[in-house]
Amino acid sequence: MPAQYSDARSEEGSTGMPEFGDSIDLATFEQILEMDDDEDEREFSKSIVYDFFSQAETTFEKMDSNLESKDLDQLSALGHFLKGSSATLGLTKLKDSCEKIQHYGAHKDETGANVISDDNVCLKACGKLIKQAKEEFREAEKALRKFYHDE
Amino acid sequence: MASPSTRIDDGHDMDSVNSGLMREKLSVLVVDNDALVRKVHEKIVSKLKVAKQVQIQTATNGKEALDLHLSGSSFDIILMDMQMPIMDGTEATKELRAMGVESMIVGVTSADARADKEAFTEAGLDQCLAKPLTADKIKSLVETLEKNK
Repeated sequence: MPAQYSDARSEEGSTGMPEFGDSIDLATFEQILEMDDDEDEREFSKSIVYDFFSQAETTFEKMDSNLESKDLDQLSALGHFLKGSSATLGLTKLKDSCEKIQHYGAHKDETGANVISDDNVCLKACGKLIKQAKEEFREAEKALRKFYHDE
Repeated sequence: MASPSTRIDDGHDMDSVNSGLMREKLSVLVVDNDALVRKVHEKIVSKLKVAKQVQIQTATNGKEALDLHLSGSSFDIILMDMQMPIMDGTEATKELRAMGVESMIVGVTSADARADKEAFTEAGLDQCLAKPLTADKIKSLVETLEKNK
């Protein structure tokens, strides 16, 4: 069964709060956990999380490729795409980085409020943010794999 | 392109305190191009037990949502993502309202741009909610549906 609770589990069925640090918003992630029919197997939430791992890996590959080909429109679309599922799972740091990629890909600054016309500035920012997003993903992935006993 | 999927949950044996007052049926359409988000929203709705029978269908973009309506389907609540390929949520909402669809259409978006959200709302939404959707947000939508009956 998933572990890494701050309270020691003294008996079957007892619940505790998983420890994810600041990479995952617990309140949001707990919404996903609440959908599990079985707190030991956690079939539903595990399937969602592991689907997300695949989705993120694929999206990062596409981001790398589009960064190489300097396709800002695609980078913006990919940032937006990964932002949605990150938000759904409570991966707030990753969601924020994806949002910034979305903005820079659309020739805006990281807030989305101001236009940046220089492609090179936007591409450079996207490059840094993709690297940051990957690190944030790895951090969340490590914590989640530990939670599901898959280290 | 993935075809719309349908799921029916029978809440007859659930333990709701107000089961005697529960609506008979709730039909929900989840429109989102992200399969993970569709799966989560579908599960949230199915777990809510806000009706004796909950029917959920999904569509991967606005055009699929439109096609469902053109083929005769109707829904109590449509959860509509804003940014989707082929036909986005704003366009789909406009088209559905132009067709005379009176369902509750709720925009669900992770977008921050105010102008985009305003255009989405003006297309004919009843409400616009931020991702992630939660059980409480959806319960509140059903309560609004009941009030407006």
